[in-house]
Amino acid sequence: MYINILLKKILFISLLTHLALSQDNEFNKVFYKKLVSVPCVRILNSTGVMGCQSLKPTSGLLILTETQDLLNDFIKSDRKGKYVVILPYELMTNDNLRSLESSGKMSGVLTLINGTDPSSSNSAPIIQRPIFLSPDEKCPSCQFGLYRNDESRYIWNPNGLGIIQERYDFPIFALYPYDKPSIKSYNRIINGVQFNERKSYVRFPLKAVEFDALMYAAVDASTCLRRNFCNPVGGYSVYSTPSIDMNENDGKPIIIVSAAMDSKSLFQDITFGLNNGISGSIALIAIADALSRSPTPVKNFQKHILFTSFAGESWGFLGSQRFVKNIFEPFNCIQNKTKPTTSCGFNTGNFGGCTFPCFRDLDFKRINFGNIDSIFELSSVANGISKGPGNIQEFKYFVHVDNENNAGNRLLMQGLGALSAVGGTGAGFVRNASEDGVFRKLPPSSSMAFLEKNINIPAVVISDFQANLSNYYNSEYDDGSDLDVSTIISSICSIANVTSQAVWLHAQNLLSPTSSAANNPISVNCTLVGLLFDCLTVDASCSLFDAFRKSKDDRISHYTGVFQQGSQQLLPRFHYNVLGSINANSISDRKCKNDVDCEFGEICANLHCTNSFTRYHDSYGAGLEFNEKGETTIVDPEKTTWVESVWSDFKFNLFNITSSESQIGELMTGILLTILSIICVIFGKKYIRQTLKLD
Amino acid sequence: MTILTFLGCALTAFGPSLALFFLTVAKDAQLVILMISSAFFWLISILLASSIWFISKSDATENPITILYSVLLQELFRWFFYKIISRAENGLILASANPTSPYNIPTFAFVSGLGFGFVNGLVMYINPLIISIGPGVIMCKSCPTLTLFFTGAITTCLSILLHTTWMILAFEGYRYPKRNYYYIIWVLLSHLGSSYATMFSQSDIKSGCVIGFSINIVLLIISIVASVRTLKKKNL
Repeated sequence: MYINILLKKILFISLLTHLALSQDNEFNKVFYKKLVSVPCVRILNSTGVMGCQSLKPTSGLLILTETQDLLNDFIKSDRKGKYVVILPYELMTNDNLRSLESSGKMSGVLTLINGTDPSSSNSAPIIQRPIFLSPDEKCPSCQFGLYRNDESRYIWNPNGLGIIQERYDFPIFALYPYDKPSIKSYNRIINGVQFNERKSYVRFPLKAVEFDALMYAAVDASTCLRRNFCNPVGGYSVYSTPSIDMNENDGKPIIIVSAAMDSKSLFQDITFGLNNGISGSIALIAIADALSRSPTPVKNFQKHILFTSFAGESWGFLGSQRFVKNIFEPFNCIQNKTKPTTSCGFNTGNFGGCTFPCFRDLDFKRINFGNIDSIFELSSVANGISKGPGNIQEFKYFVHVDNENNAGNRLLMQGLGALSAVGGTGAGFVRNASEDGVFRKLPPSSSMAFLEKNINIPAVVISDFQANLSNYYNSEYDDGSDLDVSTIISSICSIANVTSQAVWLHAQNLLSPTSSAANNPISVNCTLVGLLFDCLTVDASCSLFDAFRKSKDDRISHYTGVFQQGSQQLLPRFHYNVLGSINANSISDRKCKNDVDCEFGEICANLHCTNSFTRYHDSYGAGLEFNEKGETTIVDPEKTTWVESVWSDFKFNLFNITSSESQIGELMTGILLTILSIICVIFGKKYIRQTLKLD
Repeated sequence: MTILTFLGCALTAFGPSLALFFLTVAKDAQLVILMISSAFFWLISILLASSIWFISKSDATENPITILYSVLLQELFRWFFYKIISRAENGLILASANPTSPYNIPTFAFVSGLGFGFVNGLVMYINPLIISIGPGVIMCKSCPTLTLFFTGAITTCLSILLHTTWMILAFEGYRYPKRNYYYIIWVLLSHLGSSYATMFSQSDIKSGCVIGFSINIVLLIISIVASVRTLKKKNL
């Protein structure tokens, strides 16, 4: 192989003699094995920097510290050289990372999230999956929430490691085998560690890895936005209603059914957010579907029902705050050119939008904030079933409110409780979160953005947790692998069922503390819930996705991503198409690829021109705005201003290294040989001259 | 750190031949030009060899065959080069410092050999040498304590010196009318032998690289002795 590659190169070298300057990828591959990189990236806000960075490529010997003791031993040891430390996720505390950094022996960290030992025959896991693990803060996004000024606010995530918000100036990559290339990389690394262990880290060559994760952003969000090295964290929320004629002045109250569509974690590429993200949005779609089968069309009820699926809620409620801001504040279109411009790419004339501020359409103005009657929010609902005594499934969900004395809140809580009562009697499985005597107010939720503007709006947050956020809140472990798929599906389905019935009754002003599920014609289709679950997690062949998705990944990332005008990512597109079809007033036979192919007022949902009030809505930090030139600027540093750094590409290679002693040996050999040659040549010349009698 | 490897390997590979060049050839402009032109002939031979390899694409396993036609092509171009030089011989001798010396032709041969060998070493080894600046290494399969960079450096060093002596012997062998076929055969066989000997490095034989080096060193010593003998003969 070596010689052949060499010969192949020689062909080019012979033709082009400037070989020394050319990058030699093919030849490099022999020495450096490329690995799949799942990096932690740099995020900034108005006050500073967080996430990871490596200013220059770094490398180190692979070492695995499975336990805290082994890690402490490593930090205290007098080992020479640089190491890349493989840490189980549980040991990724800020203290550990800081002491590794200050030990001067660490050039990077690989986070071991799961995976088995490739050398063991029964594929035993290298580390045990932790019972709970959240890299997020102890009170996530609380500084942007409703209770940000509340000294005694409740701590929702007491086990949070708090490392997502920290700044690390060294590379951190994840080891998370889930598909062929990542399993191959993972095995290479673990084999490398075991190789090093067999050689006791003294008998060279040893296995090392090299990282390069240069992030262009520095200082803070305003600096890097000015330098154009950042993009706002965000995406597109989707709102949808069956009330096709909803308008600002119709005076009809609006019931909002809300959920968050995405999630976050330390390593964005492998963010899953099954419970915190996927479960709520599945319930939302299932409710919309159940209500669409109402005997009397729900658009004829006394109240409108509006479904909102918000993007970027884990980043300080990006979607809900932006949505509320836009529907609450009076809107002034300063400039409308009706044609796409460099700062606003929409053909605003086609959709009735505005060039500055840039909006494709102004249909959100048809939602009158003053008409909002109540909010049903679905938080994490995948884990509402536990095994009770006698292996009987026990359903348990909790309703969180801001104020228990609000009559509207009480009605919603009692109504949900009554509807969930088995057989219509006794306490239901949907309970007050304060039933244990502790009143915690709202957990981090989208409802806060609405209550911020009007604290008296009845708002319930329905979740499977009572006192602490789910065990794997905003963590890579929130992938459902600790639960049974059928349990997840029936958990989502049963809470969606109760909620849809409550919404159906409430929309007709019929919800009461004694409502019964018995005569309610609304029920959720659990098969659809299962289908949605497959679609939003792993199934590349999902029938709902087929209509519009391009890539066929094995695993769908639920990371929020960055806001780019007019370009929607997979998740918002999914919600837009699915909710657009479900809430359609009429679906035509006309095929389409996107909204431009359809008539005014129509959208393109599931490849058909559809008459549906379903729209995308911008989602990015409430403290950010776009100016007339289309540049992002910070307008309120107190609010959320998350931006993500730009990077070129990641380098992550495995290779052998030799000891510095042997390198010095090589150098000495070279020097000695050269000196020896000089001497030999001088004496050789003399000898030749003498023997040939040249002088 | 690995700048050490880079410098060490660069000196190992090119130190001896550079010492030869600077202490003997560099002073004489005519010889430098001769050296460059012989280097050009080697490049043409290897261009042909790599074209054959590229077109045949016979995959990785056929190394012995690749070596065979590469060596034959190099020897063919050595002969072409001799033919050209022998035509220009009178002019070259006239322009040399001492036109009456019987050692002009062996000097041309030595310089051409150095040019042949030097470009051979450069083309063969420059790629690994550049990569040696990076932190990664591959160990030599048969000598797991040595890196491929270092064994390559030694091989390069020896092959430059071998090419120099082969050129002297070949010129002597091709000399018309007293052709000496022993020299020609020796050059061809030892070239093949030293090329095949490098395959020991990546074999499974324990300390195979040492065997390869030893064979090359023995060939080199024999060739040097033979070269010196041809010079002595001229003095008789």
